[in-house]
Amino acid sequence: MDKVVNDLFWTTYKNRIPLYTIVELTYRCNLFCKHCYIPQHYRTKTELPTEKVFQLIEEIYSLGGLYLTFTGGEPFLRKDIFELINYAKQKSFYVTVFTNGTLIDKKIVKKLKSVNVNRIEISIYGNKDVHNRFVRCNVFDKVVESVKLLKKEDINVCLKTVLTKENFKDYEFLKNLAKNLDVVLKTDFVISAKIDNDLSPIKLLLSDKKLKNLVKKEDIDITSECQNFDNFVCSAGMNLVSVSPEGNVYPCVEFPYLLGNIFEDDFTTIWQKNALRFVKKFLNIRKYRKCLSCEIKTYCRRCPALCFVESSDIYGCSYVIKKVAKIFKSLFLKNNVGGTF
Amino acid sequence: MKYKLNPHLAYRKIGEFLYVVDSKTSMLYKFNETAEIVFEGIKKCFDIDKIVKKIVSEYEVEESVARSDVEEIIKEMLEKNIIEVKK
Repeated sequence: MDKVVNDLFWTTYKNRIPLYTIVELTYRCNLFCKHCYIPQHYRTKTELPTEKVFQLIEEIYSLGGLYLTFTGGEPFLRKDIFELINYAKQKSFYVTVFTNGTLIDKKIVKKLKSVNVNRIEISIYGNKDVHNRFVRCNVFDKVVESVKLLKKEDINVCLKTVLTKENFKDYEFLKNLAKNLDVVLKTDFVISAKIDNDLSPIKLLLSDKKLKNLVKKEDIDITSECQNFDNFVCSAGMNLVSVSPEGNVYPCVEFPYLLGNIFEDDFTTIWQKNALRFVKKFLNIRKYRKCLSCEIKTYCRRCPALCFVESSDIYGCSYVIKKVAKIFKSLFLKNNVGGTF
Repeated sequence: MKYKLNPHLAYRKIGEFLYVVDSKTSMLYKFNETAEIVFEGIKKCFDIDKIVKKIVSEYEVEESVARSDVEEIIKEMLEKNIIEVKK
């Protein structure tokens, strides 16, 4: 990690400053992605009014937050998205929007340019057939067109994907597509259960063999993927926080442990009291006894959120993370990939 | 000569330092308090003389020392694309 990035991370971690805030503006979405962690029946839930998001931005600003991500659902389904980005930019936030890229046209790109958005991240899962099947909608061409429109206006855009059993074969295609579009492709292979504890998305997780080949082939640095578990559990509630469309505050977007609701208390109180209580109670390294004595702890990128959604036990063991850790260990012992511990 | 901030920046004062991130390059920079005064001065469209005056009054240093520091910081910020010359 770059020295300044590292310094900013640990300064905000030690001082509990919400450096990274993820705001889910809506659960509504025009697609139906197979791996999505948001249950479909959440789509009808209420959403934060514009003024409430403004107030939230003010409070995060006062607390020292810098990186603000607007996500969904599909955030461009909200008519006030540009007002919200503009408001955050006036407070000098680094504003990122996670989108499926299907609602972006020339007019939207012009507006994004005018509000000076910092980054747009667009999800894509494979070639035309694979992508359209994965998101259950015929939108591949539109997504590619959106990337081109954003690039044309010199807006910072990247593609991101999750590799699953269904799109693994398209990884080379995605890399070439990103290269041709002159954008970065961010890749992940960890799949989360739904936040209502529905484990069905995990079925899409790559097999051990495919995952192992991927890590080997891509020369993924195992050391950067793992954590020094002796002094760090997770940044959720320390310098990371998430707010849902109904105003619920969570330690992280995939961690449905309710810290409070901004319609009942102000965000600052929830962050300073409830989130502090949460980290003192749950992010205490000594309580992770199973992990501390686990033989693969050195290779594990432990995630209390995944443990919680998979088994309702924060101190438990995530099936997904354990599977990845086992593969990292086997590869590391063969000395095939990665750096040194 | 007047300067202006690069429009692609995000920034925050955290602890004693000003952190500035440029979304064009994804680079993150860390500046001390003197550099922060220069950054804030440029943000408010101050000319160099006004920025130097502010530093002299805040730190009780010789004007020549303050000017030299400001010029050095501006050079560094120009090199890092944090600021640009106002046309």
